[in-house]
Amino acid sequence: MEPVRSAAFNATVGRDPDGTPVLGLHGELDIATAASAGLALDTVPPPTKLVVDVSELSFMDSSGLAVLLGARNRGYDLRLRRPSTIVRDLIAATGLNEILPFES
Amino acid sequence: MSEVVLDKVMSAPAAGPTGATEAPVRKPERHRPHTLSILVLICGLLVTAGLCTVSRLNYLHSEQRQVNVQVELTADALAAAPVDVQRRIGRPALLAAATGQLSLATAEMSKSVPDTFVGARIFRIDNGAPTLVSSLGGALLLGVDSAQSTQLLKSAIASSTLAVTRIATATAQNFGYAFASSIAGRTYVAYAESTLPGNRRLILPSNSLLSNLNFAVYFGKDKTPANLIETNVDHLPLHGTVGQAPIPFGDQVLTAVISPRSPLLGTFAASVAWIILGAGILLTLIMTVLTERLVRRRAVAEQLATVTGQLYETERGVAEILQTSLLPQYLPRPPGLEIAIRYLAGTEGINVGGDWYDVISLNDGRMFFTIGDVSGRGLSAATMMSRLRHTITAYAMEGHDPAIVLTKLSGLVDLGRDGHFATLICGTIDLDNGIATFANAGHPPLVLVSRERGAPVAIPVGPPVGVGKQYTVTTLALSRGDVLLAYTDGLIERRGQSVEAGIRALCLAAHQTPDLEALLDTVLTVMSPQGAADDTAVLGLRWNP
Repeated sequence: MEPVRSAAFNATVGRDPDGTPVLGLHGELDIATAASAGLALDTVPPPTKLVVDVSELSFMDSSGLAVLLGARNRGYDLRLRRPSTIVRDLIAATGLNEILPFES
Repeated sequence: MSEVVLDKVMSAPAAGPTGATEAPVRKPERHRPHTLSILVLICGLLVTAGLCTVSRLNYLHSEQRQVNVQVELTADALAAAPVDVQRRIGRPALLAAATGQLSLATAEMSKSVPDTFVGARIFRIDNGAPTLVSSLGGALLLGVDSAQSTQLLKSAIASSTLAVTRIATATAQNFGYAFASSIAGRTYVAYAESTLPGNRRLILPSNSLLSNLNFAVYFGKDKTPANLIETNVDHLPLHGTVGQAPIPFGDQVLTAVISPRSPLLGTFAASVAWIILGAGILLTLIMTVLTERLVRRRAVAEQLATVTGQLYETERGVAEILQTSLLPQYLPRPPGLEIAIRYLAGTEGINVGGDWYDVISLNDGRMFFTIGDVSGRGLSAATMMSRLRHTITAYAMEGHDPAIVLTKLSGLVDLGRDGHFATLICGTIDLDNGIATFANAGHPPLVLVSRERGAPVAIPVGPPVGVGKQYTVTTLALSRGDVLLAYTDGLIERRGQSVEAGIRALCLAAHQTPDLEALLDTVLTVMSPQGAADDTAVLGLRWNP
């Protein structure tokens, strides 16, 4: 599908071989780009399992966390795929390890 | 402590609104066209003129070629007439010379009189001297013994072609033709005349070649009125695209001149240049008007941009005042605890962030402090921050420990409803013994500056309020002079750098100094969040009984 883009960020929606939707986030997820991520998310309505591929995220702030936490509240069963150190640290620092689990 | 806050409140509006009123909106000049528009007009007209000229020249060239072709065809057609004349005169001469029987020649000649010729004569030539032997038809203009006649007969004898002359009197004009034939010593010359119409508007045999043409035929090569022998127009010379060609006429020559009545290439081809001219002028005018409008609009847009920029600055100022007013206006100044705060607005957008801090006295010798950050920005984030701040105050005053405060608080925040969550650290400090307790809801850790450098205080991190409810209290015994730094993520958050790296940099930057304000200044200078996108709040607490 057509990726949702902004200056330093874009979001793609694909599917795993088993059919699980995968939201791919690339670039910087912050207050300026959080809305783009939200739009991409809307193309896969909840409730559903959802893998969020955060391996390409170079930056994420609390607005980015809000997108992920908001998605979880709306009924997505979230798993974060291949988190970079930056994302891993942020999740740990905000005490969200159990709430936003990484894919095993 | 209050001075710092008030200072911020007073300074914020100074930059904004006053700047906005200094540059009045200039009205664009109405009547004078812009240089660019004039340039477009001139260029457009030049290009149009160029195209029109090229098109016109090209057309004229093509039309001329067509006319040249046409005049050749016309000349070919007209050349048939002298051939006919030669045949009609030549035969009697030939018969007379061949047979010597004048009656045969006269009979042959009489076929053309008076339809083709006014009259005719047959001469026998003896040793170069002509003798009139036969005469047909009416009176001829050329006298039998005239010099012109003698000359004409000589020309005819000398050549093998038709000799032609023009005979003009005061009232009439005729063509005279002579053809000589010499066989077996007998030489005869046949002579005939045909009239030229007085008005010189003889209509040639109807010919499709000539139907659309104006034409004139001259005797000889000079196109003078005296030489004109035939035309179909009232006024000469011909106008427009003119072509001419010679027509052999016995030993003389005629000159045919033609000019098409309507363009041979069609009226459209003839009008292309004028269509280009008209369309070019029209387009140029439209372009000029559009350019003028664009230029004026750009001028207006530039002014609007200036005004918008000023409004932006004003808005920003107003937003900062609002946020500052939601933060504590006065902090307590208890004996035994130094308190310093810094608050820096982020650069991103005009919306305020949801960073906050608070320090209150619990009336039992303990102080309760909070540092927090509501996710997102804007008025809703700012008001939620205000709500959380006051709620925490209420729970804290009821004597709940920090973990219970966070648990209760988290129950009041609904991420789905409010659209925000908040990270915060709250804690107490006992002013008598320096015992501090903390709980952390997803917030960057406190930094303890004990002797030289700072070190993060390891507190179990619970989820942000609005996300989870499980929090743990950590207890820490402060030494005299210890500084606790609480801050929001704007201080340590940098693109391309992990949170951990930011905390390490902060710990290195936090030098122990006797002056708490100086310590905060150093931290801010080193971490330089001046250019940071996010808001930054820093709360420094020094236990110093």
